[in-house]
Amino acid sequence: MSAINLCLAIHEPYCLRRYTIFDIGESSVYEDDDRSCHMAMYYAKHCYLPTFDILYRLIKRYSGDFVFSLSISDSALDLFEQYTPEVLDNLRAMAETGCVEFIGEPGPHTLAFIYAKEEFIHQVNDHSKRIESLFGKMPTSFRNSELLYNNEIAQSIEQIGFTTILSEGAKEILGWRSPNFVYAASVAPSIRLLLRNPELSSNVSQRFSEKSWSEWPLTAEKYAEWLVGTSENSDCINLFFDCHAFGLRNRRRSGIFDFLENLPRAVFAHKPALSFMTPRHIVKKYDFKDSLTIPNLISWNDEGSDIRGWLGNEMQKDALTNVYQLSHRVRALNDAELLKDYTRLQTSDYFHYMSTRWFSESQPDRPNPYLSPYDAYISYMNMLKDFEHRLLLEEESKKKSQLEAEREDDKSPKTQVKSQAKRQGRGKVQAVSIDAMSGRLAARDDA
Amino acid sequence: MQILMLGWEFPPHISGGLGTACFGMTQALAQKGAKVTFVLPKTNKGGDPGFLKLRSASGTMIDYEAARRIHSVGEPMWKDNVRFMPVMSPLMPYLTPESYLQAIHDLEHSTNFSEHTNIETGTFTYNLKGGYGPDLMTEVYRYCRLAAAIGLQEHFDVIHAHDWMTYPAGLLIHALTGKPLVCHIHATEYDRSGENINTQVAAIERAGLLGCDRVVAVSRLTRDVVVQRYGVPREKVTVVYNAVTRPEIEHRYVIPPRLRHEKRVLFLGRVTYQKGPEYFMEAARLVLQKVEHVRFYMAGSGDMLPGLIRRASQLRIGRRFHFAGFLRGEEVNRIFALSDLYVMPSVSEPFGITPLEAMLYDVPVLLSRQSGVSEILHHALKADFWDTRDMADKICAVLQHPALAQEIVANCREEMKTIRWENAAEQLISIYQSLAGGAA
Repeated sequence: MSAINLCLAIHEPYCLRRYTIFDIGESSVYEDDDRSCHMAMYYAKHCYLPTFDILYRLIKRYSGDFVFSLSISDSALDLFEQYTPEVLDNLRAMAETGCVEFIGEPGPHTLAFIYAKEEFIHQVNDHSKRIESLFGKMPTSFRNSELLYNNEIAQSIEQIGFTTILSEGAKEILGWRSPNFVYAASVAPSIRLLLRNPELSSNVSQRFSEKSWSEWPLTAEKYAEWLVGTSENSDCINLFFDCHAFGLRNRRRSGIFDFLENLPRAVFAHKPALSFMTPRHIVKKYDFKDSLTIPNLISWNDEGSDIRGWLGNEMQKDALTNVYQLSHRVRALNDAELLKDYTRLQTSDYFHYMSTRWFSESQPDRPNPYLSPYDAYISYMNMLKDFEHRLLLEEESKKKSQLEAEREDDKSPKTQVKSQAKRQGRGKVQAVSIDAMSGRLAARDDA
Repeated sequence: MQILMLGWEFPPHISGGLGTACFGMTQALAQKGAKVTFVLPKTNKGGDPGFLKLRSASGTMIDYEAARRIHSVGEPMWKDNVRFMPVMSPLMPYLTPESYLQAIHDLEHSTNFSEHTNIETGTFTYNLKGGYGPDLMTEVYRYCRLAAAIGLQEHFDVIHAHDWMTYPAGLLIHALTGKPLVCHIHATEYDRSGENINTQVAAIERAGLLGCDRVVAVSRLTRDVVVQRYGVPREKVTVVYNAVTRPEIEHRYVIPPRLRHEKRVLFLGRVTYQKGPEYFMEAARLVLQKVEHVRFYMAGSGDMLPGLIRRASQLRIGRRFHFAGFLRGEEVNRIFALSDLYVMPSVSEPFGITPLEAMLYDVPVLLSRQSGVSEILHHALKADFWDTRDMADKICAVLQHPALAQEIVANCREEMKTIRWENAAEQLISIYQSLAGGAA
């Protein structure tokens, strides 16, 4: 008898634009809004809306027996809010049924843990609060961006107050052990680990529409047979998918939506051997089999469960080091706009674009907007430079206003005027930058 | 497999890009067991590299019988295809109106008529000068007849002709012997001259490419030009990329201490429209607004040089923009080795071998997307030649971020391992074999 832990990961990055050295100080628009909008609409139409539609129907059909979990990044939520609110409505409707468990994560989908732990903790807490305010329940399970995991993450997550971590069932860490049990983290005894079953998961996400695959075509019935086969000696089968598996990596004509729709029926045909459960209930029901010590970082990269896709070359390391050097200063300033841009700039995808292995391994459903990893790096470093300029300006103006405040301490109702002045000041900066930009455009026309 | 190869350059006899390519190619072919007879317009003593048979067209005796056959087959072919009459003309590639006037003047005062006839035996020959002299067309015409005479003497399975100068000879030998003809195109007239083409050259190119059995292009870019401009069927054209031979002795150049705080950006090539030097200068102007401690070097000569020197002074960037003139041999190696970035902003470049040479010295390269070599170099920086802002942005990035240069160099070094003449030779041999019907 085993529980199927179905977990869908939803993440969309904002598209960055080509940002040159000549834009630094002139324009602080890093994102390509048109492209972001287009991508959001396209993904909603082909993936999120049809998938959520089916999931909602399945929840209603099996009244409480079909349950699953979702993890959603902040940037995906922002994109949905901004361009496709109907996706968000669908998510809320599913949340109301109580059959969906929402998973916590570092909201902006970052690699913050590796470089700046405090930043990481901020991001996880902010995301939990946002999930609670949107869907009504505080997450108790956690998954890191790209399923990154090691001992230290377990310790930090334990301190934050989560009970469970989802990660990759990588061969290097499991060895002879099966991923289909609950494990404990040796360094953080209260943390339970649920590890993805890589074989069964990628049979759907990677191989479903591969006609050369010996098992093609894969039907829900066949898949349920495999699950039953696995269930004989296991407690839980962790199937984690990138939501793109439904409608993007596997297109509609591959039959992926029929597969999803028929999966619960096929699973319930094997009652009581199989059932659906979410992480919250799994860790309550099943005791852990063993404690795992995982000193090296692992991830869910399908090719090697390592982190080379994000941290494989000098450019990526350089960019990451540079962006996380600013963490303390940005947090100390606590300026909403800068903080928003700063967390966005940390999105892990932007570093994946710099992977020089990308020439051989780009995923068609997550295209690299840049023509080469070098272009990605160059653009990114320029943006970071511009951001640093803005940070410095803001720090200086804050220092100045603090000095003024100290000097005119005894005079009474100054605070209101000050904040007004600050607001005006920002307007001015923007006006200047627009002027400069139009000047630049004119100069370009002349040339 | 025996190959009769017709070429206009071969080191040390005129060593431009074409000669360098022919050298690397034939060397690799020889290693694969092919026997190459290479017919040059003219050879000097002591230039034989040893791995092939170098023959000089100049001075080859044409006997009466050969002359009769060459004439009877050759003349109708000219009339049908080339419509070309030998005239005294100073036409040559890379000529501007000013240098053309000079060439006309030289021609009028020259006495290079060099036909030698032996009355007793009825044989005759021409003396050729080689290179790209003022009477290039006449040379091409004569080379054609002399090479045909050699073709009647030699044994071979396939004819392989490099660029338009040797296409007439290739066609003639093809018609005389019936052996298959491969026309290798290193640069088209449209690459050299833009839209203002020399129609005679284009006509010869067209006749050669249409009349041969297989066309070998140095890049997909060139293949597309050949297909679009000359109507050659796409399936007849095979792309074989050039490569570069790593020099055996590697001299280490040390950057002078006084220059160590600076970065150097290099342009090396003919200073002509085709190579886009003015885009390099414009990018330099933009870079100098953003980055200090950088110098730009323009190495090479050409018709645009005087104008660009004026332009540099107008822009007031002369202090940071240097003209190194035409460099040769050791000087070229030295300037490559001392550079921090090599830029090739070519407007049109069928292949472009210099970036590969720069990479031999672990110099990162920035290429125009309008070059054939960018098709095989995935780890080079690329920009459209007209987008000087983009180019300048990338130059600044290489100068400012050591991680970028380091990554490019490391990956290019890996990539270079696959760009070898051996691979090109293998492709060529399989072409020869398919044409010769497995006569190897």
